[in-house]
Formats: sequence, structure tokens, C-alpha cells
Amino acid sequence: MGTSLLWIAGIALESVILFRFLRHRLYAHYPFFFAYLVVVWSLEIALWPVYRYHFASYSRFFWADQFLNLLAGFGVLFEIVRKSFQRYPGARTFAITVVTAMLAILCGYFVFRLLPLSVSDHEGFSDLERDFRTIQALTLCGVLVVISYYRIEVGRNLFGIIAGLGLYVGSTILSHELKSYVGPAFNSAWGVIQPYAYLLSLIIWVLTLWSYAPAAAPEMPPEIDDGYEAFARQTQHTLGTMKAAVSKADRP
Amino acid sequence: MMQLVIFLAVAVGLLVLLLMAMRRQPLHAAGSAGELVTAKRTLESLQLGLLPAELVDQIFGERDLTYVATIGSNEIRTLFLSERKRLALTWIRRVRKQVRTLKDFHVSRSRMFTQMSRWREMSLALDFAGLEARCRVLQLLLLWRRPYAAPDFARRTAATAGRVCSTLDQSLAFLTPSIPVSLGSESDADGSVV
Repeated sequence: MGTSLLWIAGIALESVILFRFLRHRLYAHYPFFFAYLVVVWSLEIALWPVYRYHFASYSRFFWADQFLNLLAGFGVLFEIVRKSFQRYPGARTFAITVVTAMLAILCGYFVFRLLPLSVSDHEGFSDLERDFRTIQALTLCGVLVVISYYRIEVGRNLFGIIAGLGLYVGSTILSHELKSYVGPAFNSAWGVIQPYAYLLSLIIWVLTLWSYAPAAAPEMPPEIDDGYEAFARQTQHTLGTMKAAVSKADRP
Repeated sequence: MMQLVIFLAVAVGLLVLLLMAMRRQPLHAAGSAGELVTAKRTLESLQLGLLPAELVDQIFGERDLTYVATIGSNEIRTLFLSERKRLALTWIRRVRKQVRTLKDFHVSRSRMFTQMSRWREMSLALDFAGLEARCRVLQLLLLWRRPYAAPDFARRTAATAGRVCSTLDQSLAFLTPSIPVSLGSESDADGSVV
């Protein structure tokens, strides 16, 4: 009963978000997130009868669903990078490096781990999901570090997407790892953490994506040109001198 | 167990970063003439008021302690040491604030450069983080030990403080090629250009 309620609540919240996306044409601004939600929503609706009337084959579909969900999640990450640093070319260069490196690791891992694996091997797939989520989490961490370092305003919509995805990915890794460490005793907690974390993410998305709210355009400094090298050299020189000052103080 | 720690660290790290990003105020571009002049004036006041070698020598040198010791009162000596510690901590806090100001100036502009060098930027980011960490360590040292725990601290800092400030000054002068220094001194207190 509880699972059914959670399922229905999830589908209802996803439907609300999709409706708002269509009504306010948010899909034009966040196409990858829209595609992600369409994938998740369609799969949940399609899997509902399987769960209800043919539970034996549900687990096989469940992992396929999780895999598609994961891939669509990487699209959302791409969207986060694309939109967050749209007006900050310097910071974007930095963030793209982080995401490209993470995607290269993901591709390597995919070749190394997924190909020899059977889809029906739930335990193996569960570990694989955790590992993929970890790569997602590390990519998101990298993007968040760049956003925090450059103190970039991302706007309500994008921040909601980041917060919802981060919460879901973080809680998934936590519950996966605790489940494999604690064993069957953790099953009841697992049944609570994952669906409720996802429900919380959906609530965050409903609240933050209710209407289009982009980040304010940054004020452009008047003398910005392509003199980065000279500018960075000056900062580096200043920093080096300050570092030397503190180092000397550090070593009596 | 190690695997558990690594995965938990990733998950918790992500959630902590989310909270940090939520709390962090966005930085607007520091490029207007008023802001640059204000920054320059702040630096000048630091150069003349906070970082002169004599002042640093006065705070961290043992001359005052030697004088207080001649009075022969333990109570006065203890009071003096606690006050001096407070003063030294304030000095470090101000230095940290300067590092942060410099960082804010740098990132508010470098994030806009189309031809940014990612390696140089990475190295700068690490330098900023390193300097911030060093200042923190110094702060802790001063907090847990006497202000005179490192005898050469004052002399060496005094010798380099002037250089640090003049380099900062050069850096800001580079940032404001179109704003003459004389204009800075003719600005209002709020930094608006006269």
C-alpha cells in the first residue's frame, strides 16, 4: 500500500512538473531536464502494471529503468554546465574540463565493467548503478566547486535542478553502500530512504521550476578584453609574494 | 570498510557542497571604476595603517613584553599577553581578508575571459586555497600558543609585508589602467568617483 502511494505521488509530482514545463515553455530553456523527466515519467507509468501484476519480472525491468534514468541524468548534468556558465566563458572553460574528464572516466568504466555483465545480474547491476551514481556525484561536486569558486549566480530554476539531482544522487549512493555493508537488515531502511529522497527531489523541482526564473545577467566589467595572460600573471605574482610572506611567518 | 568510507565521503561531500552553494552569495563583476577606486583606497589604508614593518614589529616583537616583564607583576604580564594575542589574531584576520579580496577581484574578472588558461587558473585556485589554509594554520598557532611562540615571525613578516602590499598595489594599478591614482584620492568615502 505504502509503495503504491509513493509510486502514485511520484507520478503525480512528475506530471505537475511536466505540465508546468509545457505550460510555461520551460522545455525550450531546459530541454535535457525535460527529456529526463519524460523518460522517468514514461518508464514509471509503463512499469506500474508490471509491478502490480507481474512482480516476478519487475526486478529485471527495474534495473533497465535505472540504467536509462542514469543516462538521462548525465544529460541533465550537461544542461547544468551549459546553462550555469552560459554568460561566464572563463568559468565555462574550467567546468567543461571537469565534465569531459568525468565523461572519459565513465566511458572507460562502461567498457571495463558493463560489457561482460549480464542484465539479469541484479547484484552486479546494483553495484554498477552505485558506481555510475558516484561518477555523477563527483561530476556534480566538480561543477558545484566551480560555481562556488567563481561565485556564479545560477538562478532559481537551475539551482532547483542541481539541488534535486544532488539530493537524489547523494542519497542513492548512501543507501546503496549502506545496504551492501549492513546487509538484509538495511532492506527496510533502503525501502524508505530512496523513494522518500526522490519524492523530496520532486518537491524541490516542483517548487523551483514552477515558472521560468533564470539567473540575472552579470554586469560586464568595462575593461574586459582578452588580456587574460597579463591579468593572471599579475595575480599569480601577487599571490606568490603573499605566500612567501606567510610561509616565512609559518617557519620560525 | 575502506570502500564504505570512500562512497560515504562522496555522498556526504556532495550534500555538504550543495549546502555551501546554497549559502554562498553570488559575486557581481568587480569592474566599475567606483569599485576599483574603493579597492585601491582600501589597499592604501592597509599599506599605511596595518602593514608597515614598524607596526608588525611592534605587535610581534618582544620589546613590549620585555618592558612589561621589568614591572614584575604576573597579573599585568598575563593581561598583556592576552591582549597581544588578541591583537595578533586581528592582524591575521585582516591579512586573510586581503587574500579573499584579491581572490574576489581575480575571479570576478577571470570568469569572463574567453581565452582563460585552465592550468594557470587551476594553479591560482590552488595557491589561493593554500594561502587561505596557511593563514588558518597561523591563526590556530596564535590561538593555541603565545603570540611570541615564533620569534622570527614579526621580523620576517615585516620584511615581506611591504613587498606584498606594493605588489598588490601594482596589481590593482594594472586592473585600473584608465583610472589615474590621483583620481582615487579625490574620490568620496563611498568610493564614487569625483
